[in-house]
Amino acid sequence: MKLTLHIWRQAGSHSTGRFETYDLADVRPDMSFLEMLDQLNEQLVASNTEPVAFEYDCREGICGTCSLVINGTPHGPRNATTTCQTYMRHFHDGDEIFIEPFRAAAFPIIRDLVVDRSSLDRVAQAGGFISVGTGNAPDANALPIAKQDAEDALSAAACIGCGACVAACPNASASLFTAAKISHFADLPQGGPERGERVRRMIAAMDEEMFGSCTNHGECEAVCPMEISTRLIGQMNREYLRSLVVQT
Amino acid sequence: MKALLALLDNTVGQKIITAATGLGLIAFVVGHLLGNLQMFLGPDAINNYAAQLKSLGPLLWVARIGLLALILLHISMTVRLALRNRRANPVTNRRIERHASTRSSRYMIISGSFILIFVIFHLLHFTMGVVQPAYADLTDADGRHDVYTMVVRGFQNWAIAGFYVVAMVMLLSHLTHATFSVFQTLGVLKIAQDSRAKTVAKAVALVLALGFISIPVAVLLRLITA
Ligand code: HEM
Ligand code: FES
Repeated sequence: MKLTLHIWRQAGSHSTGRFETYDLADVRPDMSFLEMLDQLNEQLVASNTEPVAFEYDCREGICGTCSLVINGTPHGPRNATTTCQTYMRHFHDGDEIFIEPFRAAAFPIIRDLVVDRSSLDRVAQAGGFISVGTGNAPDANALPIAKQDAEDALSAAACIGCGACVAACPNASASLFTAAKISHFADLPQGGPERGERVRRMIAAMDEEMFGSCTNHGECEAVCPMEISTRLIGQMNREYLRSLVVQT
Repeated sequence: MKALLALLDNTVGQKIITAATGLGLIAFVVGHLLGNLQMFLGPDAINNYAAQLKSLGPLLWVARIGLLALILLHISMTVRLALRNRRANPVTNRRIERHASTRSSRYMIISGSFILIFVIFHLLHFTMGVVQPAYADLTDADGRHDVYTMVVRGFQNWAIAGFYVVAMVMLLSHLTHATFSVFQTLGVLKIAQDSRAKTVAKAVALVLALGFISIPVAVLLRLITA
């Protein structure tokens, strides 16, 4: 199939960017979206044009490195699917596709479609950890955990930290990401010692990085490739209130 | 006290204050509507109700100051958060599809600002009587403040009645999002995460708005007459 691509090109964080239009032929439906961009880059290199910078790592939908706002939606048209797992069969011959980076004040553009998402890392570092005793690994099942708590923690842990929630949010809020990192530990006994401090510190870090605040639009949940629920944001708020009255 | 002040330090705390004050304002709106609907019961009911409110004396002032505090807190938090959100998402030339947000959720600051203008006008109109002084100080046969006639005469003016209706449409927009959002913010997830939550919120907002709108409309249709 043949495509017309409108791609955001920007030489560096302080340059002004713009959409450039490229025609791409011979795209096969079984190519992934990133393979399609690889093909474009080969074409660009062959014509002595700077290739388009974009990010990926696993290409398996598990690492959270790929990004891209495709036709106005972070990670493109497929529900619960990362960009790397989006295939060209979801597009049609003759389609025009707009490709932009994940945008937010907290995600400065490095080049073209690559943005700096280290702000999310700093939020995670502020509290996304637990204290463990050193020594041998504890026995399995030494620490009983209710089934529902384990399930909830695992659902929250599904967050791959890609930042699509921020890119989709009209307020560029990182609430869904932060809430997932908090909920990941909140109800587990291992997360207990830092429980109150964790939520306070992670919220402070989120504010410090100049993310916006949540106004419950729900756009984050709609684009999340891991289907993290806004329920966790409500839980984060409760964790925060709890931390004001309960020590740890 | 220290815990309450801590709320002011971060965006989650500020949002929780927005929700708590918003909930208080919703409670006021519900109470105010129930009071106002007595317009349909005739002059005696509403004038009596107004006289009883007035007779609360200092308690009435406590309630008024409480309301003022709710509104000031609500507005200062929301304006602050809205300005922050604008800075956090400065890019305007991008194409972004909306999948979940609504006009109501995106225009909260606009609907809220309209409500604020309305509240100021409304106080000048019916509470202080500066907009239509001719109807402000009438008394009924029992010597009570004639609120009934003041309201009927007020809404017989098309422009004024129209302004009230438009303001209540803004309230409808505000409360369509707010009545859902408040439960989500406060973490009342049984309600907020129910699949019917947004529909019920919209219905509640609609009932409240139509309740208020029914009064000027009834006056214009001469269902309520002086
Ligand atoms: C009758 C008066 C009002 C009522 C009953 C009311 C109610 C509410 C409620 C319940 C919320 C939801 C809070 C949350 O989810 O956390 C809210 C949010 C908000 N209100 Fe009001 N409000 C009123 C007046 C105003 C006024 C005068 C403004 C002034 C500018 C305003 C601006 C806002 C804004 C900007 C939000 C935040 C929107 C968001 O987070 O999406 N409101 N309001
Ligand atoms: S590249 Fe790893 S999730 Fe897409």
